[in-house]
Amino acid sequence: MKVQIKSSAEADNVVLQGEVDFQTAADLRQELQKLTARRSPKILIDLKKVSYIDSSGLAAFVGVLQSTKSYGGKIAFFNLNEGVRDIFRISKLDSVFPLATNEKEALSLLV
Amino acid sequence: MRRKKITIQSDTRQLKTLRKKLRSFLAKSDFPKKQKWRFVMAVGEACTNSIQHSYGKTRCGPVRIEAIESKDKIVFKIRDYGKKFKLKKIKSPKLPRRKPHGLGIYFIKTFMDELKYNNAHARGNELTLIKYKRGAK
Repeated sequence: MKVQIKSSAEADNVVLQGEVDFQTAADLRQELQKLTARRSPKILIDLKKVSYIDSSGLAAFVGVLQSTKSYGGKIAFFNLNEGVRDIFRISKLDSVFPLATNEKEALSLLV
Repeated sequence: MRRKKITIQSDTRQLKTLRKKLRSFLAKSDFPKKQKWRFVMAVGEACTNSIQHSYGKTRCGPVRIEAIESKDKIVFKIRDYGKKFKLKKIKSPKLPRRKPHGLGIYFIKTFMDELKYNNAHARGNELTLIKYKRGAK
């Protein structure tokens, strides 16, 4: 799994690529914690190139959500494929996280 | 009937190899694409539990997976030889989760028609995951 962070004036855009499982979720958590440690106000996560995610990956996202809430930050996801969206829906995390079809929409959800 | 046996060691780095082999087996299955995605995840969660909880940080050993597809169903058996766990004690989580854990067994139960735990083994755990084909049950 690869994690690329593109920071701009509008938001920190996290581009994930590959499979997120128990093994790789630790790296993801570490990268996301770097953003929350510096109190990033807006985090956008691009899941277009994520081909697999399990409960460990979701746990990393729930963890970062808790961190962002503690300082008033916001987080949204976009570009979810069918399988990843299914996992969010089954776990009811689609009611917790803003999910968008593209980056522009995701950014608008964080206003 | 089609059958595939896969063995991985209790190392989470091997989960990727497991998924690759499972997808290869499922490629010839007539289950819908979405369901195949769910099977890979359910088996992955079961194996992660074996590695993380049954073997833990202090033990190591194999996790044996057997996939069997027949006319009316698909069955996945996951066997480890670590510490026994009590499946019945695992409660259904309140959703959505506010804590970052506790969804693995929930996904398995949601994605499969049956989840059986074989309590007969003196050592380790054996889970059987079953999904029936449409109209078969």
